[in-house]
Amino acid sequence: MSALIETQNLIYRYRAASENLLKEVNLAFDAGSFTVVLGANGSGKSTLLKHFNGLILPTSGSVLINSQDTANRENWLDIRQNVGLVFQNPENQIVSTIVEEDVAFALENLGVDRKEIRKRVDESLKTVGMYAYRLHPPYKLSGGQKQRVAIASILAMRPRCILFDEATSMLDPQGRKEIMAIIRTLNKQYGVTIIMITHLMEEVIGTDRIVVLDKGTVVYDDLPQEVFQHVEDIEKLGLTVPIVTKLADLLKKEGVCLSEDTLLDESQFTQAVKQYMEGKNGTFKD
Amino acid sequence: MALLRTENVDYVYGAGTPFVQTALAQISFSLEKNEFAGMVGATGSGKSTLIKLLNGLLRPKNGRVFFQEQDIWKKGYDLQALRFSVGLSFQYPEHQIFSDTVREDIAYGLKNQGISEDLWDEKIREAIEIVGLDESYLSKSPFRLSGGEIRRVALAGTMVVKPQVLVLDEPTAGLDPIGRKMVYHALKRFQKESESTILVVSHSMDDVAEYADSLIVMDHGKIVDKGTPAQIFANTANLEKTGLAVPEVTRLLKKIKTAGFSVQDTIYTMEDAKNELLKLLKGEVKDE
Ligand SMILES: Nc1ncnc2c1ncn2[C@@H]1O[C@H](COP(=O)(O)OP(=O)(O)OP(=O)(O)O)[C@@H](O)[C@H]1O
Ligand SMILES: Nc1ncnc2c1ncn2[C@@H]1O[C@H](COP(=O)(O)OP(=O)(O)O)[C@@H](O)[C@H]1O
Ligand SMILES: [Mg+2]
Ligand SMILES: [Mg+2]
Repeated sequence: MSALIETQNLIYRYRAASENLLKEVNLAFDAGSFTVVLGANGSGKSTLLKHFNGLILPTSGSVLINSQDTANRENWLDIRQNVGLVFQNPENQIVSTIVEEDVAFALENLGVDRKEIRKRVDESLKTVGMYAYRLHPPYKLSGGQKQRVAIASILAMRPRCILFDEATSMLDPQGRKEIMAIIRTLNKQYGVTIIMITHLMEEVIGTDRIVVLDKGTVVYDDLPQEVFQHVEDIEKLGLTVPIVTKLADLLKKEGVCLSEDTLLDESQFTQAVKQYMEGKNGTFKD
Repeated sequence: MALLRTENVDYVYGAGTPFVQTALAQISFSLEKNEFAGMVGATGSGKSTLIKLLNGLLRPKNGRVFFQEQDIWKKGYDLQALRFSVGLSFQYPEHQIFSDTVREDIAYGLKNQGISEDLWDEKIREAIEIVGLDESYLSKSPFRLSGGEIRRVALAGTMVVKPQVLVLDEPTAGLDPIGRKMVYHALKRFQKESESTILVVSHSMDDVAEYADSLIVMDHGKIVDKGTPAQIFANTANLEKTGLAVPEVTRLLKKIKTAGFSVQDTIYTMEDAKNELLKLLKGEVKDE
Protein backbone atom coordinates (compact mmCIF):
# COMPACT_ATOMS: atom_id res chain seq x y z
CA MET A 1 0.00 0.00 0.00
CA SER A 2 1.42 3.37 -0.85
CA ALA A 3 1.32 6.18 1.68
CA LEU A 4 -1.29 8.92 1.59
CA ILE A 5 1.41 11.57 2.00
CA GLU A 6 5.03 11.09 1.13
CA THR A 7 8.02 13.41 0.93
CA GLN A 8 11.06 12.49 -1.10
CA ASN A 9 14.30 14.31 -0.29
CA LEU A 10 12.27 17.40 0.46
CA ILE A 11 14.41 20.52 0.66
CA TYR A 12 12.94 23.94 1.24
CA ARG A 13 14.47 27.39 1.38
CA TYR A 14 12.53 30.62 1.84
CA ARG A 15 13.38 33.16 -0.84
CA ALA A 16 14.60 35.69 1.72
CA ALA A 17 16.75 33.12 3.52
CA SER A 18 20.42 32.37 3.04
CA GLU A 19 20.24 28.68 3.83
CA ASN A 20 17.95 25.69 3.49
CA LEU A 21 15.31 25.39 6.16
CA LEU A 22 14.07 21.85 5.50
CA LYS A 23 16.97 19.54 4.82
CA GLU A 24 16.27 16.29 2.98
CA VAL A 25 13.08 15.34 4.74
CA ASN A 26 11.84 11.84 3.93
CA LEU A 27 8.59 10.97 5.61
CA ALA A 28 5.58 8.84 4.74
CA PHE A 29 2.13 8.94 6.34
CA ASP A 30 -0.27 6.06 5.83
CA ALA A 31 -3.98 6.63 5.38
CA GLY A 32 -5.66 6.51 8.78
CA SER A 33 -2.54 7.22 10.82
CA PHE A 34 -2.18 9.78 13.61
CA THR A 35 1.09 11.68 13.92
CA VAL A 36 2.21 14.50 16.17
CA VAL A 37 4.99 16.82 15.02
CA LEU A 38 7.10 18.45 17.72
CA GLY A 39 9.94 20.97 17.51
CA ALA A 40 11.18 24.27 18.89
CA ASN A 41 9.91 27.60 17.56
CA GLY A 42 11.36 28.10 14.12
CA SER A 43 12.34 24.46 13.58
CA GLY A 44 10.27 24.23 10.39
CA LYS A 45 7.07 22.47 11.49
CA SER A 46 4.59 24.85 9.86
CA THR A 47 6.71 25.03 6.74
CA LEU A 48 6.67 21.24 6.50
CA LEU A 49 2.91 21.04 7.03
CA LYS A 50 2.21 23.61 4.34
CA HIS A 51 3.90 21.28 1.86
CA PHE A 52 1.29 18.62 2.57
CA ASN A 53 -1.54 20.47 0.92
CA GLY A 54 0.53 22.20 -1.70
CA LEU A 55 0.38 25.60 -0.04
CA ILE A 56 4.10 25.76 -0.66
CA LEU A 57 6.19 23.72 -3.06
CA PRO A 58 9.58 22.12 -2.41
CA THR A 59 12.75 23.92 -3.49
CA SER A 60 13.94 20.48 -4.50
CA GLY A 61 12.69 16.94 -3.99
CA SER A 62 9.00 16.18 -4.08
CA VAL A 63 5.82 15.76 -2.09
CA LEU A 64 3.23 13.21 -3.16
CA ILE A 65 -0.36 13.24 -1.96
CA ASN A 66 -2.17 10.07 -2.88
CA SER A 67 0.68 9.57 -5.38
CA GLN A 68 -0.04 12.97 -6.95
CA ASP A 69 2.89 15.36 -7.10
CA THR A 70 2.08 18.72 -5.46
CA ALA A 71 4.30 20.46 -8.00
CA ASN A 72 1.83 19.55 -10.74
CA ARG A 73 -0.81 22.25 -11.07
CA GLU A 74 -3.40 19.80 -12.38
CA ASN A 75 -3.40 18.01 -9.03
CA TRP A 76 -4.08 21.06 -6.92
CA LEU A 77 -7.84 20.86 -6.75
CA ASP A 78 -7.72 17.19 -5.73
CA ILE A 79 -5.05 17.87 -3.17
CA ARG A 80 -6.87 20.79 -1.57
CA GLN A 81 -9.99 18.67 -1.23
CA ASN A 82 -8.14 15.72 0.18
CA VAL A 83 -6.02 17.59 2.68
CA GLY A 84 -7.38 20.34 4.90
CA LEU A 85 -5.26 22.62 7.03
CA VAL A 86 -6.38 24.22 10.27
CA PHE A 87 -4.11 27.04 11.38
CA GLN A 88 -2.96 28.38 14.71
CA ASN A 89 -4.83 31.65 14.43
CA PRO A 90 -8.49 31.48 13.50
CA GLU A 91 -8.65 35.18 12.61
CA ASN A 92 -6.92 34.65 9.29
CA GLN A 93 -9.17 31.80 8.25
CA ILE A 94 -12.55 33.42 8.55
CA VAL A 95 -13.82 35.11 5.40
CA SER A 96 -17.58 35.56 5.72
CA THR A 97 -19.80 37.76 7.83
CA ILE A 98 -21.97 34.93 9.17
CA VAL A 99 -20.72 31.74 10.77
CA GLU A 100 -22.64 29.29 8.60
CA GLU A 101 -21.67 31.12 5.42
CA ASP A 102 -18.10 30.74 6.44
CA VAL A 103 -18.46 27.01 6.85
CA ALA A 104 -20.26 26.79 3.48
CA PHE A 105 -17.76 29.00 1.66
CA ALA A 106 -15.41 26.36 0.27
CA LEU A 107 -18.26 24.00 -0.60
CA GLU A 108 -19.96 26.73 -2.60
CA ASN A 109 -16.73 27.34 -4.46
CA LEU A 110 -16.61 23.67 -5.34
CA GLY A 111 -20.18 23.77 -6.65
CA VAL A 112 -21.61 21.29 -4.15
CA ASP A 113 -25.41 21.33 -4.28
CA ARG A 114 -27.45 23.41 -1.82
CA LYS A 115 -29.04 20.56 0.10
CA GLU A 116 -25.76 18.79 0.59
CA ILE A 117 -24.14 22.03 1.72
CA ARG A 118 -26.89 22.60 4.30
CA LYS A 119 -26.45 19.10 5.65
CA ARG A 120 -22.69 19.27 5.90
CA VAL A 121 -22.66 22.74 7.41
CA ASP A 122 -25.09 21.73 10.16
CA GLU A 123 -23.23 18.51 10.85
CA SER A 124 -19.86 20.20 11.06
CA LEU A 125 -21.11 22.99 13.31
CA LYS A 126 -22.72 20.45 15.63
CA THR A 127 -19.52 18.43 15.77
CA VAL A 128 -17.58 21.42 17.09
CA GLY A 129 -20.39 22.63 19.34
CA MET A 130 -21.07 25.86 17.43
CA TYR A 131 -24.46 25.10 15.91
CA ALA A 132 -26.18 27.59 18.21
CA TYR A 133 -23.95 30.30 16.78
CA ARG A 134 -24.61 29.53 13.12
CA LEU A 135 -26.18 32.92 12.45
CA HIS A 136 -23.65 34.98 14.40
CA PRO A 137 -21.07 37.20 12.74
CA PRO A 138 -17.69 35.49 13.32
CA TYR A 139 -15.93 38.68 14.34
CA LYS A 140 -18.11 38.81 17.43
CA LEU A 141 -16.91 35.47 18.67
CA SER A 142 -14.03 35.10 21.06
CA GLY A 143 -10.84 33.42 19.88
CA GLY A 144 -11.73 29.91 20.93
CA GLN A 145 -15.14 30.06 19.35
CA LYS A 146 -13.66 31.26 16.08
CA GLN A 147 -11.25 28.37 16.05
CA ARG A 148 -14.11 25.92 16.34
CA VAL A 149 -15.74 27.54 13.30
CA ALA A 150 -12.49 27.25 11.37
CA ILE A 151 -12.35 23.56 12.17
CA ALA A 152 -15.98 23.15 11.09
CA SER A 153 -15.16 24.75 7.74
CA ILE A 154 -12.52 22.13 7.13
CA LEU A 155 -14.73 19.28 8.33
CA ALA A 156 -17.40 20.31 5.83
CA MET A 157 -14.99 19.44 3.04
CA ARG A 158 -14.78 15.85 4.30
CA PRO A 159 -11.09 15.60 3.59
CA ARG A 160 -9.07 12.36 3.86
CA CYS A 161 -6.43 14.08 5.89
CA ILE A 162 -6.51 17.06 8.22
CA LEU A 163 -3.42 18.94 9.25
CA PHE A 164 -3.63 20.86 12.50
CA ASP A 165 -1.06 23.59 13.11
CA GLU A 166 -1.39 24.29 16.83
CA ALA A 167 -5.13 24.40 16.33
CA THR A 168 -5.86 24.22 20.05
CA SER A 169 -3.24 26.66 21.28
CA MET A 170 -5.79 29.43 21.84
CA LEU A 171 -8.52 27.35 23.47
CA ASP A 172 -9.34 26.93 27.15
CA PRO A 173 -8.75 23.51 28.75
CA GLN A 174 -12.33 22.44 28.18
CA GLY A 175 -12.25 23.60 24.56
CA ARG A 176 -8.96 21.81 24.05
CA LYS A 177 -10.34 18.60 25.42
CA GLU A 178 -13.36 18.88 23.13
CA ILE A 179 -11.30 19.59 20.04
CA MET A 180 -8.85 16.81 20.86
CA ALA A 181 -11.80 14.45 21.30
CA ILE A 182 -13.13 15.55 17.89
CA ILE A 183 -9.73 15.00 16.31
CA ARG A 184 -9.44 11.51 17.83
CA THR A 185 -12.97 10.62 16.74
CA LEU A 186 -12.29 11.75 13.19
CA ASN A 187 -9.24 9.53 13.17
CA LYS A 188 -10.66 6.44 14.90
CA GLN A 189 -14.22 6.40 13.56
CA TYR A 190 -13.87 7.98 10.16
CA GLY A 191 -10.30 6.99 9.38
CA VAL A 192 -9.22 10.55 8.70
CA THR A 193 -5.45 10.81 8.63
CA ILE A 194 -4.22 13.31 11.20
CA ILE A 195 -0.95 15.19 11.32
CA MET A 196 -0.84 17.63 14.17
CA ILE A 197 1.66 20.20 15.40
CA THR A 198 1.50 21.04 19.08
CA HIS A 199 3.60 22.47 21.91
CA LEU A 200 1.31 20.91 24.51
CA MET A 201 2.51 17.58 25.76
CA GLU A 202 -0.86 16.51 27.11
CA GLU A 203 -2.06 16.37 23.51
CA VAL A 204 0.61 13.88 22.56
CA ILE A 205 -0.77 11.08 24.71
CA GLY A 206 -2.43 8.36 22.68
CA THR A 207 -0.82 9.06 19.30
CA ASP A 208 0.87 6.34 17.27
CA ARG A 209 3.83 8.35 16.21
CA ILE A 210 5.90 11.39 17.05
CA VAL A 211 8.12 13.21 14.58
CA VAL A 212 10.58 15.68 16.11
CA LEU A 213 12.13 18.40 13.99
CA ASP A 214 15.29 20.27 14.87
CA LYS A 215 16.47 23.06 12.54
CA GLY A 216 14.69 21.49 9.60
CA THR A 217 15.92 17.95 10.17
CA VAL A 218 13.91 15.00 11.45
CA VAL A 219 15.71 13.90 14.63
CA TYR A 220 13.12 11.43 16.00
CA ASP A 221 10.39 9.45 14.29
CA ASP A 222 9.07 6.88 16.72
CA LEU A 223 6.47 5.81 19.29
CA PRO A 224 5.87 8.30 22.15
CA GLN A 225 7.33 5.97 24.77
CA GLU A 226 10.51 5.64 22.74
CA VAL A 227 10.91 9.36 22.05
CA PHE A 228 10.17 10.46 25.62
CA GLN A 229 12.65 8.15 27.26
CA HIS A 230 15.35 10.58 26.10
CA VAL A 231 14.40 13.26 28.61
CA GLU A 232 17.66 15.21 28.49
CA ASP A 233 18.03 15.14 24.72
CA ILE A 234 14.46 16.31 24.29
CA GLU A 235 15.07 19.18 26.71
CA LYS A 236 18.22 20.16 24.85
CA LEU A 237 16.04 20.70 21.79
CA GLY A 238 14.00 23.31 23.71
CA LEU A 239 11.19 20.82 24.23
CA THR A 240 9.88 18.92 27.18
CA VAL A 241 8.44 15.52 27.96
CA PRO A 242 4.94 15.01 29.44
CA ILE A 243 4.70 16.11 33.08
CA VAL A 244 4.23 12.57 34.35
CA THR A 245 7.30 11.39 32.43
CA LYS A 246 9.32 14.27 33.85
CA LEU A 247 8.23 13.51 37.39
CA ALA A 248 9.17 9.84 37.03
CA ASP A 249 12.55 10.94 35.72
CA LEU A 250 13.13 13.29 38.67
CA LEU A 251 12.23 10.49 41.09
CA LYS A 252 14.65 8.16 39.35
CA LYS A 253 17.43 10.70 39.91
CA GLU A 254 16.56 10.53 43.62
CA GLY A 255 16.95 6.78 43.54
CA VAL A 256 13.32 5.78 43.13
CA CYS A 257 12.70 3.87 39.92
CA LEU A 258 8.96 3.51 39.51
CA SER A 259 9.07 1.62 36.25
CA GLU A 260 11.46 0.45 33.56
CA ASP A 261 9.03 1.67 30.90
CA THR A 262 8.46 5.32 30.07
CA LEU A 263 5.40 6.49 32.00
CA LEU A 264 3.21 8.74 29.88
CA ASP A 265 -0.08 9.34 31.65
CA GLU A 266 -1.58 9.63 35.12
CA SER A 267 -3.08 6.14 35.15
CA GLN A 268 0.23 4.52 34.30
CA PHE A 269 1.94 6.61 36.94
CA THR A 270 -0.59 5.79 39.65
CA GLN A 271 -0.39 2.11 38.76
CA ALA A 272 3.39 2.23 39.04
CA VAL A 273 3.15 3.90 42.46
CA LYS A 274 0.82 1.11 43.61
CA GLN A 275 3.17 -1.61 42.42
CA TYR A 276 6.17 0.11 43.95
CA MET A 277 4.48 0.42 47.33
CA GLU A 278 3.24 -3.16 47.24
CA GLY A 279 6.72 -4.36 46.38
CA LYS A 280 8.17 -2.37 49.25
CA ASN A 281 5.64 -3.56 51.81
CA GLY A 282 6.07 -7.09 50.48
CA THR A 283 9.85 -7.25 50.89
CA PHE A 284 9.61 -6.07 54.46
CA LYS A 285 6.88 -8.51 55.36
CA ASP A 286 8.76 -11.72 54.69
CA MET B 1 -3.92 51.50 47.99
CA ALA B 2 -4.61 49.62 44.81
CA LEU B 3 -2.50 50.57 41.81
CA LEU B 4 -5.13 49.68 39.26
CA ARG B 5 -8.76 48.85 39.96
CA THR B 6 -12.22 48.69 38.49
CA GLU B 7 -15.44 49.49 40.28
CA ASN B 8 -18.68 47.79 39.21
CA VAL B 9 -17.72 47.74 35.58
CA ASP B 10 -20.13 46.49 32.90
CA TYR B 11 -19.23 46.03 29.28
CA VAL B 12 -21.61 45.28 26.45
CA TYR B 13 -20.71 44.58 22.82
CA GLY B 14 -23.08 45.51 20.01
CA ALA B 15 -25.44 47.59 22.12
CA GLY B 16 -28.53 48.48 20.06
CA THR B 17 -28.02 45.62 17.57
CA PRO B 18 -29.63 42.15 17.53
CA PHE B 19 -26.28 40.75 18.59
CA VAL B 20 -25.98 42.57 21.88
CA GLN B 21 -23.63 40.65 24.13
CA THR B 22 -22.88 41.37 27.77
CA ALA B 23 -19.19 40.58 28.15
CA LEU B 24 -18.66 41.86 31.70
CA ALA B 25 -21.09 42.42 34.53
CA GLN B 26 -20.34 44.24 37.77
CA ILE B 27 -16.63 43.66 37.81
CA SER B 28 -14.76 45.04 40.80
CA PHE B 29 -11.18 44.04 40.85
CA SER B 30 -7.85 45.44 41.91
CA LEU B 31 -4.15 44.98 41.39
CA GLU B 32 -1.67 45.97 44.07
CA LYS B 33 1.73 47.36 43.30
CA ASN B 34 4.29 44.59 42.69
CA GLU B 35 1.64 41.86 42.53
CA PHE B 36 1.95 38.97 40.05
CA ALA B 37 -1.60 37.97 39.29
CA GLY B 38 -2.94 35.30 37.00
CA MET B 39 -6.35 35.38 35.36
CA VAL B 40 -8.04 32.21 34.21
CA GLY B 41 -11.43 31.50 32.71
CA ALA B 42 -13.11 29.66 29.87
CA THR B 43 -13.20 31.03 26.35
CA GLY B 44 -15.65 33.91 26.18
CA SER B 45 -15.66 34.54 29.92
CA GLY B 46 -14.55 38.14 29.35
CA LYS B 47 -10.82 38.10 30.07
CA SER B 48 -9.69 39.91 26.93
CA THR B 49 -12.44 42.46 27.35
CA LEU B 50 -11.46 43.19 30.94
CA ILE B 51 -7.87 43.62 29.96
CA LYS B 52 -8.72 46.16 27.30
CA LEU B 53 -10.64 48.16 29.88
CA LEU B 54 -7.58 48.37 32.09
CA ASN B 55 -5.60 50.64 29.81
CA GLY B 56 -8.52 52.52 28.36
CA LEU B 57 -8.77 50.73 25.01
CA LEU B 58 -12.42 50.07 25.76
CA ARG B 59 -14.72 52.35 27.69
CA PRO B 60 -17.05 50.68 30.20
CA LYS B 61 -20.77 51.12 29.81
CA ASN B 62 -21.16 51.53 33.54
CA GLY B 63 -18.67 51.65 36.38
CA ARG B 64 -15.26 53.20 36.71
CA VAL B 65 -11.62 52.34 36.15
CA PHE B 66 -8.94 53.85 38.39
CA PHE B 67 -5.19 54.03 37.93
CA GLN B 68 -3.36 55.35 40.98
CA GLU B 69 -6.80 56.25 42.28
CA GLN B 70 -7.48 58.55 39.32
CA ASP B 71 -10.62 57.88 37.28
CA ILE B 72 -9.26 57.28 33.78
CA TRP B 73 -12.48 58.44 32.09
CA LYS B 74 -12.64 61.73 33.94
CA LYS B 75 -12.41 64.73 31.62
CA GLY B 76 -8.84 65.80 31.02
CA TYR B 77 -7.28 62.50 32.11
CA ASP B 78 -4.21 61.70 30.01
CA LEU B 79 -5.07 58.35 28.42
CA GLN B 80 -1.91 58.39 26.35
CA ALA B 81 0.18 58.49 29.52
CA LEU B 82 -1.93 55.68 30.97
CA ARG B 83 -1.07 53.50 27.98
CA PHE B 84 2.63 54.08 28.65
CA SER B 85 2.18 53.03 32.27
CA VAL B 86 -0.02 50.03 31.56
CA GLY B 87 1.58 47.95 28.82
CA LEU B 88 -0.68 45.52 27.03
CA SER B 89 0.35 42.47 25.05
CA PHE B 90 -2.46 41.13 22.91
CA GLN B 91 -3.73 37.61 22.57
CA TYR B 92 -2.94 37.58 18.85
CA PRO B 93 0.55 39.01 18.45
CA GLU B 94 0.20 39.59 14.71
CA HIS B 95 -2.14 42.42 15.61
CA GLN B 96 0.57 44.42 17.25
CA ILE B 97 3.19 44.03 14.55
CA PHE B 98 3.48 46.78 11.92
CA SER B 99 7.08 47.45 10.98
CA ASP B 100 9.48 46.29 8.30
CA THR B 101 12.07 44.97 10.69
CA VAL B 102 12.01 43.37 14.09
CA ARG B 103 14.24 46.15 15.39
CA GLU B 104 11.84 48.88 14.28
CA ASP B 105 8.99 46.97 15.76
CA ILE B 106 10.58 46.70 19.17
CA ALA B 107 11.70 50.33 18.97
CA TYR B 108 8.17 51.53 18.31
CA GLY B 109 7.29 51.97 21.97
CA LEU B 110 10.62 53.61 22.76
CA LYS B 111 10.05 56.12 19.98
CA ASN B 112 6.50 56.78 21.10
CA GLN B 113 7.61 57.57 24.59
CA GLY B 114 10.32 59.88 23.35
CA ILE B 115 13.16 57.85 24.81
CA SER B 116 16.53 59.09 23.56
CA GLU B 117 17.80 57.14 20.57
CA ASP B 118 21.19 56.67 22.21
CA LEU B 119 19.55 54.27 24.63
CA TRP B 120 17.61 52.23 22.10
CA ASP B 121 20.27 49.72 21.09
CA GLU B 122 20.97 48.60 24.59
CA LYS B 123 17.31 48.36 25.54
CA ILE B 124 16.43 46.49 22.36
CA ARG B 125 19.28 44.05 22.85
CA GLU B 126 18.17 43.38 26.39
CA ALA B 127 14.54 42.86 25.35
CA ILE B 128 15.35 40.47 22.53
CA GLU B 129 17.61 38.45 24.79
CA ILE B 130 14.90 38.18 27.45
CA VAL B 131 12.56 36.48 25.00
CA GLY B 132 15.24 34.09 23.82
CA LEU B 133 16.04 35.42 20.35
CA ASP B 134 19.48 36.49 19.16
CA GLU B 135 20.47 39.75 17.48
CA SER B 136 20.36 38.23 14.00
CA TYR B 137 16.57 38.58 14.24
CA LEU B 138 16.69 42.38 14.50
CA SER B 139 17.13 42.94 10.78
CA LYS B 140 14.50 40.36 9.76
CA SER B 141 10.99 41.16 8.62
CA PRO B 142 8.47 40.30 11.33
CA PHE B 143 6.17 38.99 8.63
CA ARG B 144 8.65 36.27 7.79
CA LEU B 145 8.85 34.69 11.20
CA SER B 146 7.34 31.54 12.65
CA GLY B 147 4.36 31.83 15.00
CA GLY B 148 6.46 31.46 18.12
CA GLU B 149 9.05 33.94 16.89
CA ILE B 150 6.37 36.58 16.25
CA ARG B 151 5.06 36.03 19.77
CA ARG B 152 8.53 36.58 21.17
CA VAL B 153 8.99 39.79 19.18
CA ALA B 154 5.63 41.12 20.35
CA LEU B 155 6.54 40.37 23.96
CA ALA B 156 9.91 42.08 23.55
CA GLY B 157 8.07 45.13 22.21
CA THR B 158 5.83 45.26 25.25
CA MET B 159 8.60 44.69 27.77
CA VAL B 160 11.18 47.03 26.26
CA VAL B 161 9.51 50.16 27.66
CA LYS B 162 9.26 48.65 31.15
CA PRO B 163 5.73 49.76 31.94
CA GLN B 164 4.64 49.98 35.57
CA VAL B 165 1.92 47.46 34.92
CA LEU B 166 2.36 44.69 32.40
CA VAL B 167 -0.82 43.03 31.20
CA LEU B 168 -0.38 39.99 28.97
CA ASP B 169 -3.14 38.11 27.20
CA GLU B 170 -2.13 34.48 26.67
CA PRO B 171 1.56 35.39 26.35
CA THR B 172 2.86 31.85 25.97
CA ALA B 173 0.36 30.42 23.50
CA GLY B 174 2.40 29.16 20.57
CA LEU B 175 5.68 29.21 22.43
CA ASP B 176 7.77 26.08 22.69
CA PRO B 177 8.36 24.70 26.20
CA ILE B 178 11.67 26.46 26.68
CA GLY B 179 10.14 29.70 25.43
CA ARG B 180 7.35 29.48 28.00
CA LYS B 181 9.85 29.05 30.77
CA MET B 182 11.96 31.94 29.54
CA VAL B 183 9.01 34.28 29.35
CA TYR B 184 7.81 33.48 32.86
CA HIS B 185 11.31 33.76 34.28
CA ALA B 186 11.69 37.10 32.53
CA LEU B 187 8.38 38.32 33.96
CA LYS B 188 9.35 37.20 37.45
CA ARG B 189 12.70 38.98 37.13
CA PHE B 190 10.99 42.04 35.76
CA GLN B 191 8.53 42.07 38.65
CA LYS B 192 11.36 41.95 41.19
CA GLU B 193 13.84 44.31 39.55
CA SER B 194 11.43 47.01 38.40
CA GLU B 195 8.90 46.47 41.18
CA SER B 196 6.31 46.23 38.46
CA THR B 197 2.88 44.72 38.57
CA ILE B 198 1.97 41.86 36.29
CA LEU B 199 -1.34 40.41 35.17
CA VAL B 200 -1.19 37.33 33.00
CA VAL B 201 -4.20 35.78 31.31
CA SER B 202 -3.52 32.15 30.63
CA HIS B 203 -5.18 28.87 29.79
CA SER B 204 -2.23 27.03 31.21
CA MET B 205 -3.03 26.30 34.82
CA ASP B 206 0.39 24.77 35.27
CA ASP B 207 2.08 28.02 34.31
CA VAL B 208 0.01 30.44 36.38
CA ALA B 209 0.11 28.05 39.32
CA GLU B 210 3.87 28.01 39.26
CA TYR B 211 4.44 31.75 38.88
CA ALA B 212 1.49 33.83 40.10
CA ASP B 213 1.00 35.07 43.67
CA SER B 214 -2.74 35.31 43.22
CA LEU B 215 -5.35 34.01 40.82
CA ILE B 216 -8.60 35.46 39.53
CA VAL B 217 -11.18 33.09 38.07
CA MET B 218 -13.61 34.48 35.49
CA ASP B 219 -16.85 32.86 34.40
CA HIS B 220 -19.53 34.33 32.14
CA GLY B 221 -18.45 37.92 32.59
CA LYS B 222 -18.04 37.70 36.35
CA ILE B 223 -15.22 37.15 38.79
CA VAL B 224 -16.21 33.95 40.58
CA ASP B 225 -13.13 33.22 42.65
CA LYS B 226 -9.99 34.93 43.87
CA GLY B 227 -7.13 33.71 46.02
CA THR B 228 -3.72 32.09 46.14
CA PRO B 229 -3.13 29.19 43.74
CA ALA B 230 -3.37 26.72 46.63
CA GLN B 231 -6.76 28.10 47.64
CA ILE B 232 -8.09 28.00 44.10
CA PHE B 233 -6.85 24.52 43.29
CA ALA B 234 -8.20 23.04 46.51
CA ASN B 235 -11.64 23.18 44.97
CA THR B 236 -11.45 21.05 41.84
CA ALA B 237 -15.19 20.79 41.35
CA ASN B 238 -15.63 24.55 41.38
CA LEU B 239 -12.97 25.04 38.73
CA GLU B 240 -14.26 22.31 36.50
CA LYS B 241 -17.72 23.86 36.57
CA THR B 242 -16.24 26.91 34.84
CA GLY B 243 -14.58 24.80 32.12
CA LEU B 244 -11.15 24.87 33.72
CA ALA B 245 -8.94 22.20 35.18
CA VAL B 246 -6.49 21.98 38.04
CA PRO B 247 -2.80 21.75 37.09
CA GLU B 248 -1.60 18.36 35.94
CA VAL B 249 0.54 17.65 38.99
CA THR B 250 -2.38 18.48 41.27
CA ARG B 251 -4.59 16.10 39.32
CA LEU B 252 -1.96 13.39 39.52
CA LEU B 253 -1.62 13.71 43.30
CA LYS B 254 -5.38 13.68 43.74
CA LYS B 255 -5.48 10.48 41.74
CA ILE B 256 -2.78 8.87 43.86
CA LYS B 257 -4.61 9.92 46.99
CA THR B 258 -7.84 8.42 45.64
CA ALA B 259 -5.93 5.19 45.07
CA GLY B 260 -5.48 5.03 48.84
CA PHE B 261 -2.13 6.67 49.53
CA SER B 262 -1.62 9.46 51.96
CA VAL B 263 -0.29 12.39 49.94
CA GLN B 264 -1.14 16.03 50.13
CA ASP B 265 -3.20 16.96 47.07
CA THR B 266 -3.10 20.74 47.08
CA ILE B 267 0.36 20.74 45.56
CA TYR B 268 0.77 22.41 42.18
CA THR B 269 4.45 22.66 41.34
CA MET B 270 6.71 19.94 40.00
CA GLU B 271 9.27 20.44 42.76
CA ASP B 272 6.71 20.06 45.56
CA ALA B 273 5.15 17.07 43.85
CA LYS B 274 8.51 15.38 43.64
CA ASN B 275 9.19 15.94 47.33
CA GLU B 276 5.75 14.79 48.35
CA LEU B 277 6.11 11.60 46.32
CA LEU B 278 9.59 10.96 47.68
CA LYS B 279 8.16 11.13 51.18
CA LEU B 280 5.63 8.47 50.23
CA LEU B 281 7.91 6.24 48.20
CA LYS B 282 10.99 6.41 50.42
CA GLY B 283 8.98 6.63 53.61
CA GLU B 284 8.69 4.15 56.44
CA VAL B 285 6.77 1.01 55.65
CA LYS B 286 3.26 1.02 57.01
CA ASP B 287 2.48 -1.29 59.93
CA GLU B 288 -0.13 -3.73 58.80
N1 LIG C 1 8.14 33.80 4.63
C1 LIG C 1 9.32 33.52 5.21
N2 LIG C 1 10.46 34.00 4.71
C2 LIG C 1 11.65 33.71 5.28
N3 LIG C 1 11.79 32.96 6.40
C3 LIG C 1 10.69 32.44 6.94
C4 LIG C 1 9.39 32.71 6.38
N4 LIG C 1 8.47 32.06 7.16
C5 LIG C 1 9.16 31.44 8.14
N5 LIG C 1 10.50 31.67 8.01
C6 LIG C 1 11.55 31.15 8.89
O1 LIG C 1 11.62 29.74 8.77
C7 LIG C 1 11.83 29.12 10.03
C8 LIG C 1 10.79 28.03 10.26
O2 LIG C 1 9.50 28.61 10.31
P1 LIG C 1 8.20 27.73 10.65
O3 LIG C 1 7.05 28.67 10.63
O4 LIG C 1 8.14 26.55 9.76
O5 LIG C 1 8.55 27.26 12.15
P2 LIG C 1 7.70 26.41 13.20
O6 LIG C 1 8.48 25.20 13.50
O7 LIG C 1 6.32 26.23 12.72
O8 LIG C 1 7.77 27.37 14.48
P3 LIG C 1 6.66 27.75 15.60
O9 LIG C 1 6.73 26.69 16.65
O10 LIG C 1 7.18 29.05 16.15
O11 LIG C 1 5.35 27.88 14.93
C9 LIG C 1 11.80 30.24 11.07
O12 LIG C 1 13.10 30.51 11.54
C10 LIG C 1 11.23 31.44 10.35
O13 LIG C 1 11.83 32.62 10.80
N1 LIG D 1 -15.57 42.64 19.27
C1 LIG D 1 -16.59 41.97 19.83
N2 LIG D 1 -17.86 42.18 19.41
C2 LIG D 1 -18.89 41.51 19.98
N3 LIG D 1 -18.77 40.61 20.98
C3 LIG D 1 -17.55 40.36 21.44
C4 LIG D 1 -16.38 41.01 20.89
N4 LIG D 1 -15.29 40.55 21.54
C5 LIG D 1 -15.74 39.66 22.46
N5 LIG D 1 -17.09 39.53 22.40
C6 LIG D 1 -17.93 38.67 23.25
O1 LIG D 1 -17.72 39.05 24.61
C7 LIG D 1 -17.58 37.91 25.44
C8 LIG D 1 -16.22 37.93 26.14
O2 LIG D 1 -15.21 37.76 25.18
P1 LIG D 1 -13.66 37.86 25.49
O3 LIG D 1 -13.42 39.05 26.35
O4 LIG D 1 -12.93 37.79 24.20
O5 LIG D 1 -13.45 36.54 26.35
P2 LIG D 1 -12.12 35.70 26.67
O6 LIG D 1 -10.94 36.57 26.40
O7 LIG D 1 -12.28 35.35 28.11
O8 LIG D 1 -12.16 34.49 25.78
C9 LIG D 1 -17.81 36.70 24.55
O9 LIG D 1 -19.15 36.31 24.68
C10 LIG D 1 -17.52 37.21 23.16
O10 LIG D 1 -18.28 36.50 22.22
MG1 LIG E 1 4.47 27.14 13.33
MG1 LIG F 1 -9.34 36.22 25.11
